[in-house]
Amino acid sequence: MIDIAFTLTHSHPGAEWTLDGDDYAGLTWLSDTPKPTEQEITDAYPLAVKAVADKEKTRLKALSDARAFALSLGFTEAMLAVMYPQLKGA
Amino acid sequence: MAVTPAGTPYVESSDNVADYPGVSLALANHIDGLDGGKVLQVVSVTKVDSFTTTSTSFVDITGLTANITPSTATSKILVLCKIAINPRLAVAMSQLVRGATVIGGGTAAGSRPSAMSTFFPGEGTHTTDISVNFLDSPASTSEQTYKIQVRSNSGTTAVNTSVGDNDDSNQPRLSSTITLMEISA
Repeated sequence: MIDIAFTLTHSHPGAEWTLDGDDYAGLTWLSDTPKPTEQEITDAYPLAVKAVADKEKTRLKALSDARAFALSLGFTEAMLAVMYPQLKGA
Repeated sequence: MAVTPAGTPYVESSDNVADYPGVSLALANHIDGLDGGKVLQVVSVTKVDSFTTTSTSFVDITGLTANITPSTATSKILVLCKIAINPRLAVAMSQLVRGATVIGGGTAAGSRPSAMSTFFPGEGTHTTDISVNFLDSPASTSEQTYKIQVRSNSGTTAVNTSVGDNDDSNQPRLSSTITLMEISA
């Protein structure tokens, strides 16, 4: 099942709409821009999934780089755990 | 003290209740001239499917609408509603509407809008039940329509979904209910 709400937030950022239920039939387009077709949303879904995955990958890479840099400066794992707990597992 | 045709004793307005220490409070509904405060009818609607919007203006939550026809113009309508709301990177606000009239909202001040309830989960997404509890005086015997509206300031606001609404056994689909009670004046 295509997650229409999830897809639209990525494929049409800033657009205003309502979705009653989970199906395309429940989509009411409030913005002045053209309402996307069901096929366009279906096509956009894998792109939205990839965009979210890429964003998470970028976030984890930034954490990993920060942790490596901190260790290269002489910080220990124990120090990082206290000072930068968000780097745990990066 | 008088007795109904069915044989039930009741207190008349001319009686001094202190003279009848054995009279139970269960007889309160039989006290002469005090018929106010009774529940005359109840209407309840439950929405079980999801609703999502990115609208920055208030929009109806489809299916969270209830109609009631007061039996007298002096009746009060007690509106009770719980909404399972799930903003995602958004401030969700709700308001109560009778017909086309917004009722029960706060007083807007500057850029601060009027709303009846709100929920801001901060970063990320969380679900909570927000409530509406309002005693209305429609002063009419025509059918009255009560509905709940929501808006977002950004992001999306969903109803009856939880967390990220992923296909996950820990992220249930929820329900929301609006109940109307006609109370005699």
